[in-house]
Amino acid sequence: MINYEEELKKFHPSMDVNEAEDAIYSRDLTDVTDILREMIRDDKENRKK
Amino acid sequence: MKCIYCGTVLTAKDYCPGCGQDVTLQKRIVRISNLLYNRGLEKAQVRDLSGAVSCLNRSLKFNKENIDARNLLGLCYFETGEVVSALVEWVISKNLKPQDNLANDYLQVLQNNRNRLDQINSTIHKYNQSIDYCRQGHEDMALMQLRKVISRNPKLVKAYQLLALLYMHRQEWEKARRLLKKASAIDNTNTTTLRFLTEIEEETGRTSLFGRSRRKKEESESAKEKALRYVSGNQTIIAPTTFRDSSTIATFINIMLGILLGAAIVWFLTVPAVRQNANDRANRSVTDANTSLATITATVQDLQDQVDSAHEETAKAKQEKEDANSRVEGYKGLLQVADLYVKGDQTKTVEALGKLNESDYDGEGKQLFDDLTLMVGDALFSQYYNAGTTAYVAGNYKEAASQLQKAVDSDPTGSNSMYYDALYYLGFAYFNAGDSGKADDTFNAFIQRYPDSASVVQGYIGAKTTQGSGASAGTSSQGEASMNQGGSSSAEVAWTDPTTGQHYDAYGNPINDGSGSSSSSSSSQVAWTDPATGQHYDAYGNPINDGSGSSGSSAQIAWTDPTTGQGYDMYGNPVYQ
Repeated sequence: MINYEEELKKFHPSMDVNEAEDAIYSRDLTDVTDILREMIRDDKENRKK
Repeated sequence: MKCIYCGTVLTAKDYCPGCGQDVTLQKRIVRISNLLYNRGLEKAQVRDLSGAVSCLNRSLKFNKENIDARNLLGLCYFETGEVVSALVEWVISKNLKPQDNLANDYLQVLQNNRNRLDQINSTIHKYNQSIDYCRQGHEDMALMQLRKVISRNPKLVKAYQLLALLYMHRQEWEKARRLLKKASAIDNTNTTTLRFLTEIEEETGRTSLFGRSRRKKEESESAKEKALRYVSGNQTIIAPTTFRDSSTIATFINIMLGILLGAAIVWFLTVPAVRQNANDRANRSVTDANTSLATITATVQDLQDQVDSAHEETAKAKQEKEDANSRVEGYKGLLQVADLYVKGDQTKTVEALGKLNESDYDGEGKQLFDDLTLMVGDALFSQYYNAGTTAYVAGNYKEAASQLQKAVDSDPTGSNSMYYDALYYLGFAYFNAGDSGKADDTFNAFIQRYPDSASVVQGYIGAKTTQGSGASAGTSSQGEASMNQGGSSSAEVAWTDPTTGQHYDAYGNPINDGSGSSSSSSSSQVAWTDPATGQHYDAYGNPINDGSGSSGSSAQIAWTDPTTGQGYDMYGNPVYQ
């Protein structure tokens, strides 16, 4: 049995056009490659130390 | 793809051509990203947009520079009504790869259709507002807003889901089902849509489009019944379970069958009636034409009859005209005769009168003809008689019979002194001509008129004769009996020689009456009297010296003027008594 209130909570407002700019700037575009590159850099730094 | 160590563009080898580092891992990451992109693409192709979005996001997690994955992700967002999310992805894609990028085209389309973008933006606002209404308990307001949102942005799946949730909350299961079916048409594996549909199935016992059925055993038994019972709000709805939505092909086939059935109905029901009407019209037209033809034919016949009658009348008129002309000519002749008589030319009067036909006159004309005939009758009689006797003497019995017949006919009363001879010789003329019938008739008439002289002709009645036998002048022949016989005690002067005054009979025999003078004996018949001198003349114009130059006190009154009472003799001379 579906709970109306619970289901209603799952509905979130959609972004409008004005919020698109902020959404783009706040977007985290980190991917695995970036993580790998950061891991390699950390490893180099650790090795220098 | 560039090396993560030095940024050198990598080749197909597993190490960087710049720094020589091992790039196997990097390439593996890229391969995984591409694999996830492919899965996302497959899901998007079958309208599993939720699954496609998930795969594409994971693909971008592995490689943010997978432009195709990002563009496809934006497309999936746009198809589900998340226009702003689609814009974000395309903008990012454009920034990562400015050139030769599909995202540029997508963004260009949206920028060109600014009104559509504004409308979508407004629908998003209304959707957000309807969520607030729902949380505040204003479900009716939320319903109105969501209906507007769906009508303006029919691809916003979340709006369908929220509205279906509201209907489900109000237990309007069928409405919710219809909305969720539309949402599933857009994104057929959306988890929320599937959950809601499952709930509706549980509540209503009716299967969804996907054929999933979680009926309980007791519900499966009821599902086998023909009627479906479920509660919608305060109403209990009973619907048949056999209802099934038909597919497109079945619909098309049904339509074609309907068309064929309709065509068959038209062909068998209406076409015969139409044909019958056409035939009836044609028959009526034929009947009317025949009637018209008959009428026209009758008219033509009438006109032809009129023409024929007109022709007959014309012919009759022509005939009447000819008769009138002949009558006019006849009357002219009669007037000429009268004129000649008035002028005193007895000879020409007799000749002219002889040319006339008594049957051409009637009324006063007939009276005038009779009077003239009476007045010149004797002369006419003498003329015919002399001609007949001359022909008889010459042996031309037919001509003799004709002339003597005219002489007899000119004197119906037989008053002329030579009538006896005329009748006598007429009979013998017929007899000698071979016309025994007329000869017998003439002999009988002779006997009847002159019974004392019956013995003269009795022997010839019924006797046969050879035509033309005898009857030459002066010779003895049948019936000739010489002109000297005939009842007249004295020879009849038929001709007088004007130079010698010798009288001759009809046979050319001289009549010795002791007078060679031109004057005839007192027995010479006066044919004409000169009104001026009173001199009598015979039929041949010979003067008759009877010692009287008067008009003759013994002249017989032949005609009396009805107006004056004056008597005139046969020659038109007044007779004073």
